[in-house]
Amino acid sequence: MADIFDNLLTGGVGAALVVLLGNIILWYLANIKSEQTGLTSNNFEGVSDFQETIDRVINGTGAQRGLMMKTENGGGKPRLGTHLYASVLYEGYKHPLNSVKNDYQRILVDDIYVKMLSDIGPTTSNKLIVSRMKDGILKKIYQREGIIYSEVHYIGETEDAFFYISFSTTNNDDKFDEPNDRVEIEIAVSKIRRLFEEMKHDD
Amino acid sequence: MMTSSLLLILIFGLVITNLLLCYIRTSRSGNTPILNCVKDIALIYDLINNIVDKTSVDKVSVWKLPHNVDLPYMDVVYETSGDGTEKLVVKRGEILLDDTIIDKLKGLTIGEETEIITDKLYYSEKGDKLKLDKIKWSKMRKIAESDTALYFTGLHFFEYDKRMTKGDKIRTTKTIKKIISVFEKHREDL
Repeated sequence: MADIFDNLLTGGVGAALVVLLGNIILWYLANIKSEQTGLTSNNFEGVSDFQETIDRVINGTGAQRGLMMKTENGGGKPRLGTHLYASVLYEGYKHPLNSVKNDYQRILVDDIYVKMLSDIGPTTSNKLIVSRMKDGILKKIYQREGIIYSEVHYIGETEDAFFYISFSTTNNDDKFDEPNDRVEIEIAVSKIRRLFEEMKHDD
Repeated sequence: MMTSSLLLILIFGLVITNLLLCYIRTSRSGNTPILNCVKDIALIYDLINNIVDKTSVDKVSVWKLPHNVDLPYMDVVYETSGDGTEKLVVKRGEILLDDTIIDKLKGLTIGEETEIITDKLYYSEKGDKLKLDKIKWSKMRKIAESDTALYFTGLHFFEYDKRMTKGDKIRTTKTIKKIISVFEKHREDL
């Protein structure tokens, strides 16, 4: 009988210790989570470093337009069962393209656009030849402006939005394959990603 | 002695299982990266477009019926493209359901389906009630439920007497099961 009580007592203390340890782990995880949820897409608006980096690509390569964009739900976190909207945050452009930042705000995206986004990631860009794209809002936008080629690069994400950058041209056969163009674009994408991550950590 | 040892093992087992479950819940809830969400939305588009490509179904959409709204409106969240119909998604929040249809939809369990005559549905535009374009009848299946809304897939037909073959039924059921599993994966975020 005494053995049973001893064992029960030992078991009880052990269980209490495990519960305590578990609670500490859960508290730690919840803390990390609350730090992450403090980030919003608004933190990344109005930063001139992004603009300068885009301008450098536009001035130094065949890219005629660079758009840093975000896709979000209507203010909350993008979730299944909600609509997604795309907006331009920063742009750089040169002749013959014009400014589209004011036009492209909160555009309801369609399936082709979502597919395009789903194909990009930290190690993958999406290279789009407009004539081969499926019909959709993205193709219509490109065609309206005479864009022939565009490539989209992943930048990062916050709690409530997904960020990416596109570089486009109206020139036939220009896919930014010239070594200088490629290096400039890769440097710019890396720099913007780094700025983005730094801002997340500084927040 | 043996009883107490078993009791000990049981207590530890229960505690560890609970902790593991708590950990899994905590790490999953609200922490799904947006890129994964976008990939799953793209997957749903693929699945619904696949139904239209490979069966006699004319159009597929995913509906969201919010719980806490006074008016019986529903929201089309995803729909097939290139099916020759006007886009229902842009009419979001404006498609009016009559009571019979609402009762039918609310009475479904997940995976269960019902047929509705869709030509009774309207969307409103500048105060006018306009009939939904082309769609005559639909097979609605409940796919998910959250605290805020019910979700359904709609298989839509442009002719009253158009029916699915047995093969189509098997294919669509299989595809919708995949859609249900995608929604189930995001259940806590719906």
